[in-house]
This record gives sequence, C-alpha cells and structure tokens, in this order.
Amino acid sequence: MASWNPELSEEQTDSLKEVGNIGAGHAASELAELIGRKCVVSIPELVCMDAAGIAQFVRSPDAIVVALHMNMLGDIPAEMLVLTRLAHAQRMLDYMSPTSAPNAQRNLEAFQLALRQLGEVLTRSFADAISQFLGTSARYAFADAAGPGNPNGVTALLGSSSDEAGDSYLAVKADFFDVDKTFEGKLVYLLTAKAQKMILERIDELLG
Amino acid sequence: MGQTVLIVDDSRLARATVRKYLVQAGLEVAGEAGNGRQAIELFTQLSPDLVTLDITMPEMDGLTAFREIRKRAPDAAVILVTSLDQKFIAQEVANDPYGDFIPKPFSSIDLLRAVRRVLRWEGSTDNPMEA
Repeated sequence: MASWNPELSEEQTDSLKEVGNIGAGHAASELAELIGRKCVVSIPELVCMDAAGIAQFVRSPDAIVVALHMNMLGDIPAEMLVLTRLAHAQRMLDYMSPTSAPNAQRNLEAFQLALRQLGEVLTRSFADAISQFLGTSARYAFADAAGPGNPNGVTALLGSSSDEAGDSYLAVKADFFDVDKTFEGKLVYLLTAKAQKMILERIDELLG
Repeated sequence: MGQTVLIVDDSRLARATVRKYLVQAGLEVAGEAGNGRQAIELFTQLSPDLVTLDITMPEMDGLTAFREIRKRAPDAAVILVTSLDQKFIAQEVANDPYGDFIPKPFSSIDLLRAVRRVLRWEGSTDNPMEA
C-alpha cells in the first residue's frame, strides 16, 4: 500500500487534507451531540489504495471488525467508510442509548440496524460539510455494513464510484475518538482521480 | 496603518481562505503560523490586533495556544476557527468579550461578523469596513 500520490503537489495534498478535516470534524461533532461526549479528530492523512488494498484494510482481523460503507453521489462521486472495533461500536451505541442499546451478542439484527444508523449519521455529516464547503450538491446511498453476521458486506461493494476496474483511490483518512479515548474509529473518504480533480478545481475557483 | 491579523492554521488552504476574506475587509496580515507553538512565538513578536486560531494542529493544538495567549494578553482579540462545532469549544469563549468561535466551513459574512465583535468595530472610527 503506497503512502504517497506523486501526482499531487504539496498544495493539492494540503487542500485535500483540509477537505478531510472539515468532513471529519463535522462527523465527530455530530457524534458528540448524539452521545453527549467531547469528540475530536486527528490530522488527516492521504494514502493511495487500490480496491484490493482497501479490502485488506477493512478486513484487518486484529483491529477493525465493523465497517460501514456509503456511496456519495451528486457533483463529486466518492465512497466513504467508517471503521471501528466491535467493542468500540458497542460503546458508542451504549452512550447513545444507555438503557436500550442493542448488544451484538444478544440481538444481532437490532445491533446491525443501530450500527447502520450510526454510520449514516457520521457519513452524512461528513459529506454535508464537504458539500457546504465546496458549494456542491450531494446525494447519498447508504450501502452496507460489515460486522458480526456479515463479515464481507462492505468489501463486496467497494469500487462503485470507480470509473474503471483496477482504479486506485486516494484515501483521505482521519481518526475520530472521544477525549477520554473510550472509543476510536477511522473515517475514510475514498476519491478516484476524477473526484480529486473535481475537488481541486472547485477549490481553485473558490480561492479565485 | 490598518489593523493587523495573525492567521494560525496547519492548512495552507484554510489560511488562504481566511487571508482572502480579511484582506478584502481591510486588515493587514502580520504573519501566519502552522501550529500553536509558532502562534505564541509570533503573537509575542508581532502583537497583532487579531488572531484567528485553528484547533486541530500538530505540535500544539489551538486550545492550548489560546489559553497561553489569554495568560499573556487577556484582551487580545482571538477567533477560534475549527471544524469541531462542539459545545466545549464554544464554551471556551462564551464569556470572553474578546473571543469568538466560528465553525468551518464559514462564509466571509460569518468571519467578518466575528471580527466586528472581537475588534469592537461597531460604533468605532477604526473600522476598515467603513473606510
């Protein structure tokens, strides 16, 4: 998995990281509102990945066992992943609804539904903030969740915003966590070359 | 000479956006910093009229830098500019007459409203917007 896209200048890299920062900051803020805890984000990183690399990343058995995937349509098609550990997903749901959060061990179906709702909140707030920043329109299609009972759910769907089979993505990644570090996760904004170009052109227009 | 601003953000794009809006409003950019530590150094050297301060930055975050600036200059005008639109950020400046907070993304109107408030432009002859 490469860690640098040689086709991007430092300025372009900076711009895409700031787009990720705005999206991730809003997703963390929406989560903070839902769970009543302070949530913050890391400084975003850019990583080049092909679909196989992303699948490997999502399936990392030691760490990430819950993943949510959303297709972002509209002016700038992209894909979005939310990755976290099962125990951390459970903790976020507990904070949201301390008395009635579904338990992954006891009620799988309700747990998956709650997880999808959580993923939808995070990905929508991320996408809405970016759309507001860039002045673009966005539509969403929440695709799937992987986790207990559906381990391959997300990886089967990856690539739906790709122009061609075998395309690589630029992943804009940021960690989100509560300030007491009782949970953490990753927000991954997956951009094809075409989407990167559209975002960078839009930023040039905005700066005049 | 117009009023001066120190722009602090680890993103060049964010600094360019703030610079564009504030220069259009008649402010002069005294300096720019990419982290909280640099911000404190430049604040001490340049004594700007206004500081815009991002929160999520390397080396020293914006909230730590803000508290350091407040220790040195309780009446320095500071605007926290961050994508973390949360109560704990807003509370940091809630009772601070020289502090404000605006979430990213922001419009020029959002930023200038905060500038007017912290620089006390209303009713002042020192308002570049009215020049």
